[in-house]
Amino acid sequence: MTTETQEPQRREVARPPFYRDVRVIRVVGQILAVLAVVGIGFWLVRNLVSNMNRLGISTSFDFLFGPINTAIPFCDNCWVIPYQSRFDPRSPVWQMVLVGVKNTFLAAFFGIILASVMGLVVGISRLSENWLVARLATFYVEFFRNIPPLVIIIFFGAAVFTAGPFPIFSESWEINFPATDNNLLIINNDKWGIPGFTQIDDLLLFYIILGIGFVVGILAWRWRTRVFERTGQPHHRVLWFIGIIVGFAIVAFFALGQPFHMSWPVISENRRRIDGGFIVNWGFMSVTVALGLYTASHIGEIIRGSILAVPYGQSEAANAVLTSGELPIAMAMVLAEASFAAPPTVTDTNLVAPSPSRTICCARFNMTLSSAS
Amino acid sequence: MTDLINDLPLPIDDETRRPVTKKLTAGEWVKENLFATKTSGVFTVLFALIFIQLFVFNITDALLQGEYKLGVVTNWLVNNEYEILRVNLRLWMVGRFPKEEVWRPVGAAWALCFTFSLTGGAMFESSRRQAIEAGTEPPESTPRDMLRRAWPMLALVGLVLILTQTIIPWVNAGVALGLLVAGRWIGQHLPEFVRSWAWWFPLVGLCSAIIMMQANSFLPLLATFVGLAVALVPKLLGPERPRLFRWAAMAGAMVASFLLASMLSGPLNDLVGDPGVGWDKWGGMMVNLLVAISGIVIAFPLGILLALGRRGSRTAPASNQTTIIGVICAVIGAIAFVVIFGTGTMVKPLGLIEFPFAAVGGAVIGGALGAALSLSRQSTTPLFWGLSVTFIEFIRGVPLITLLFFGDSMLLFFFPKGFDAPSQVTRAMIVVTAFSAAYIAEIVRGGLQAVDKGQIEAAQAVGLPFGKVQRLIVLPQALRAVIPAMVGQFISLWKDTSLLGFISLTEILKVSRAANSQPDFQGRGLQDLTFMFVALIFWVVSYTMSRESQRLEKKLRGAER
Repeated sequence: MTTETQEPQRREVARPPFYRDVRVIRVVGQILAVLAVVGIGFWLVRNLVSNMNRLGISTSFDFLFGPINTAIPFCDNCWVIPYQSRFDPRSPVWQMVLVGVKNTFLAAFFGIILASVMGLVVGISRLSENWLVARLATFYVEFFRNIPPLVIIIFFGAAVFTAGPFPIFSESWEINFPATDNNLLIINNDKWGIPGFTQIDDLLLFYIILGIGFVVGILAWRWRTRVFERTGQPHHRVLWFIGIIVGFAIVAFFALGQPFHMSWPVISENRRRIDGGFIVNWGFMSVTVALGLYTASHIGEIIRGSILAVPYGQSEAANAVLTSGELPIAMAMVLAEASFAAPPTVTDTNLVAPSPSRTICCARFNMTLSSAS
Repeated sequence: MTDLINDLPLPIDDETRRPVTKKLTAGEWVKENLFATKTSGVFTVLFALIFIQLFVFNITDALLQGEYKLGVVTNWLVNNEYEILRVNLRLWMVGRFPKEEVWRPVGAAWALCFTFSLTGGAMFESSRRQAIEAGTEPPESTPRDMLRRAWPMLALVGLVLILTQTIIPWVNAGVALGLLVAGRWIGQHLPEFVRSWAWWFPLVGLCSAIIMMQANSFLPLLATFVGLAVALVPKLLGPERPRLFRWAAMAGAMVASFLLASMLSGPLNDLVGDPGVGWDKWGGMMVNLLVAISGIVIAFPLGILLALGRRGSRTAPASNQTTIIGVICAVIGAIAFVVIFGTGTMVKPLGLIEFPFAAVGGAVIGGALGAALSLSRQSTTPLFWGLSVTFIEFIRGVPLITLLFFGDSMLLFFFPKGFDAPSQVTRAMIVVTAFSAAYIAEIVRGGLQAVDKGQIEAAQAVGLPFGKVQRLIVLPQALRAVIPAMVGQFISLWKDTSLLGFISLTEILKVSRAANSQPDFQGRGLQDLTFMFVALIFWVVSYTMSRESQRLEKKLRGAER
């Protein structure tokens, strides 16, 4: 059998006219678009430059090194600079920006923790067999999800914390540490004081030793993992890791001659301030709590969706194996759904990070406000 | 097998061979749903106690202080000073809108209510007839269904009406409700040929609303429509004319109509004599709605364009090549920045602090450019891709509040001297629209990627041009796929309008802060009431939107099968 492959006949197709040729249209269209954008951009920037020159507005970054010149309200834990608990209006602007960055990160950090825990609880509760629990969780989600976070923040800041049930400043709640005079907690309508640390010396060396401890801890972690893989002995690597870091910290603390010490919050003589300790104002608290609760409603929905994504047979199997109530089921489910929920949860907690840009409503200092003023 | 089923402890229906769900008595229901296990019972009792404490009877006060009171929340609701809501209700609704002009938004709302419900009724009737023709179950819409869908809105309107001090708002709301019902009924009983035009009714309503709000927009709108009508003429001439000719005719007609409008609007507006009320006087909930709706309506086509511009890329994951090119460009960028800024030829020499800033900045910019260059090689239209990506990633990387501050303080500088500067509301709308367009673009891009490439190729093989491929094949599927994400974006946009208060627009959150600083109410601790009221307004709109989106999703999923 002769296999005479037939050459596919190349028909001579007439090229379409240039205005219908997709290759020409692509190139011309793109060039036109770029020209338009560049032209408009050039026009806008020229206007900007001429307007700013006319009004005498400078565009350099020199303002970062000038003094702030304004008082920052409620800036209590502005401890960017060592030995300085209160912010000095004469210090340069970049320190103020740093305070904003620090507050943003702190609020995001605690907000993410609160949101994750709360979201997990709510997400599991929504699927509870208990009718009341499931209804309450649904109510929580539908309530917080449909209200702007800003409203929640201001509600907490203005209605709950400052005008709410908390005592006005002069009559604070003081909770003592048992059997001592040290205050464990001071709460009033303005601030919140908890025990903190005061540094006496430069802490650089301490941090370096802590860093070494961290590295050693990681090495120990890997060593325990290898031991576990080789022999099958329990590895206890988390305990080892934490133990080594704590050990390094204790040794460094005493070896360096106690570079910091506990500082307890005390109400000052004139009863207008809290001295010592770690002081947080309600602005910060309301931002953290409100963002945590708001984001929890989103995370709760993600977790619910991920639990539902686990085949029903698995939860039945878990039910059969762990027949001792709801908690073990929940634990097994959480393990199963973790793989589903991880990516969207991370995306959602990412939402918390830009959200503290809304903190300014409580006259709280943060990045956006420092750049706006 | 049969034995197995019969052995099950469940009652089995003899005909369908499926387990029968037994109708539970009240006692059984309580046992099964509230006290199934010990833990469950504990939780039930605990939450029931909390519920009673909050809503029914204050247990702790009774035990500790011997005072008998209603539950915490109920007590708060009953013994509250609603005077602050009553006095400031106008501020919340329309802000500082002139009192004698309030008929304008009321009339606009009536027009929108009527036309939208007209379309709703007509669409419902069409789908009912289609279902009957196809022999499937026709959709039903009972008043009870409508009530279930609209109860949050009705509750909010009722609350607002109770708080009013005169009878006029009651009349207005009654007329609006009547128009809604009438529009629905008329829409269902329209003759066939009118019903097929139902999509255009909301546009008519919108135009009449705009004209009612701003009478001097009448002529530009009219001229635009004349232009559109003229632009349709070459289309009607038939396909035998060359395409370029038809396009040119259309573009010419539209440009001519715009020119006509802008030329005539001045002198003819003097004839009309009533300029209406500009955006800069809007306030309260009207501003929230205006900015949110413009952010949705205007941003939607922009977002689709941006998504189409970005779609050219082949969505390949970042390869090693991208990383290598990115790193090389980052190094080059860092060196370039340090050399340019460090030698002192352009600006003053770098200090110790600026030096790392310049290096890192150069590296970031260089790396981004390099990665973009390498990625854009995969696109058929790299320049469109670059423009879209730059815009989208810039907007998405910056928080909305920062953009709003930028728009408020900087946007004016971009206009030439002597230009009639846009008002504050307009600037906010520009920023919100740009913001929303970037997010919509990313959502739409997800939908575009979900459409099978084979379909596009098939359409191209048939000979459809790009526009038709997108309009007829890709976008209908893509947009349907992203409805939930899109509505989620709309809801978050609506919630983000609470940020407008920071650029001193009197939106509802700002109003409640202002109300609490009025001399009559200052220091009386009424923040909780006002903020709850604001939260309720936001909640009702968002909740209704999310429920409607779920309905739509379910309906479209049904259509897909």
